[in-house]
Amino acid sequence: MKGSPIPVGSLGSRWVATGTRLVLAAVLAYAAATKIGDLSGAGRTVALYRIVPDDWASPLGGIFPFVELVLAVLLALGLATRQAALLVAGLMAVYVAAIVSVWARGLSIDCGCFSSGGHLTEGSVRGYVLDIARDTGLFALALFLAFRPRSRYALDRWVLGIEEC
Amino acid sequence: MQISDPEVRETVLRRHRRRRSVRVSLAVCLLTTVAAAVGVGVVRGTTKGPGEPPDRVPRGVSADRSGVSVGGGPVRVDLYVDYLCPECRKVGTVLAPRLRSLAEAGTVTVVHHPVAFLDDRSVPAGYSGRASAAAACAADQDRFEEYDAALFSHQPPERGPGPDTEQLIDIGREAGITVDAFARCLREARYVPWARYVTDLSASHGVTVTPSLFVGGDRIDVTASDALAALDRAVADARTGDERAGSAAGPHRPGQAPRTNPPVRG
Repeated sequence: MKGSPIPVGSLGSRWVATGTRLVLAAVLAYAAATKIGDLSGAGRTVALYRIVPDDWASPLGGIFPFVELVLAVLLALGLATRQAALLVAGLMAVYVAAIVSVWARGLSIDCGCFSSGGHLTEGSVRGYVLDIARDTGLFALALFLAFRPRSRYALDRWVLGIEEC
Repeated sequence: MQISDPEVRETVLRRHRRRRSVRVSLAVCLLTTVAAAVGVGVVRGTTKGPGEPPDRVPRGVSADRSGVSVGGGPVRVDLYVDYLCPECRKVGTVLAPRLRSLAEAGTVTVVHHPVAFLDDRSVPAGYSGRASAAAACAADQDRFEEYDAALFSHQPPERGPGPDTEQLIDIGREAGITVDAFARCLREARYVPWARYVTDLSASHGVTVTPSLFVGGDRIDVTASDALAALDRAVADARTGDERAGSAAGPHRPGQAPRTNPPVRG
């Protein structure tokens, strides 16, 4: 992957890549904003998953939204698109794995994907299915972008001079 | 630099691309790490320590002022609930009666920590804290457990306003509290600082979710379907552990020290 020529892509596929970039950026920015507005809630949400020790939950609750925010900014600007897209794919894989793990252990919680999560008394399975479907879709979009990172209106071209490809 | 040979030119370009790709990857990794560090820093900066305990604490408050203590048994049980949390209601109706009878039998001391984690889940915000402070007022009338149960049977849905102060006073009647002192306590918001203290103290002890139940310092999974059996088992274990430790004067069991109430060593 390193040093391999980046596919130039037709004008059409560059527009598709631009759309993908902006969709991912918007979703990440929204997710980050809701969590940064309530960081203690974000920490409690991480604790609800019962995957990491309680002491780690609060710091992790701070880490996720700020990483989401940085990736959203990079994607919105079209800067280091391929690397940012790969990281987003990794983040989505982590989220999907976490939700699957919660579901498998029979916990019933609200994923806290765009808010602070909580316990649910009903409807958790429907929530898990929707959350996993959404995050898998975002994962696929991010992977697509990682392999076709050239897009219109991207800073990559100006800042990194990716013109010769 | 003019390179005429297309093959050489291609090699040079590929090397450039590789170097640039590595540099950009490193920069993005660095940026992400900085973002993560900022996240941790912001959380550290905004997490409030509990500060000094407030002057006014309810009757029956535990020695560390972190909750209302019920019963005098040898096994310490710590229960953390938020009156707005739906899962806590289940604990309040299923486990609380058992804890009550265990406390009455002199087996356990239950320390109730009414925390307000979900203040922002009611509209307007603040029901959790008001309910927690009201429960403290009920403790002054020796009716904490009754009022606790009444609050859960009147639990409002999230995103609603929740009972206001007058309605919380009415709920007190159901718990057998009719005295004016109780109404006065609620109206002057006497234990709002204490409720905040309990909340911050719990968070700083790493109790971040409600409901949380600890028997002798060990967490019991209250969301499991057999939580009642798990509670009984844990209490029985803690008792035999106590007796053994008592008869043999053996070393203190590590799990025995409740995390919220470290034993004072002289």
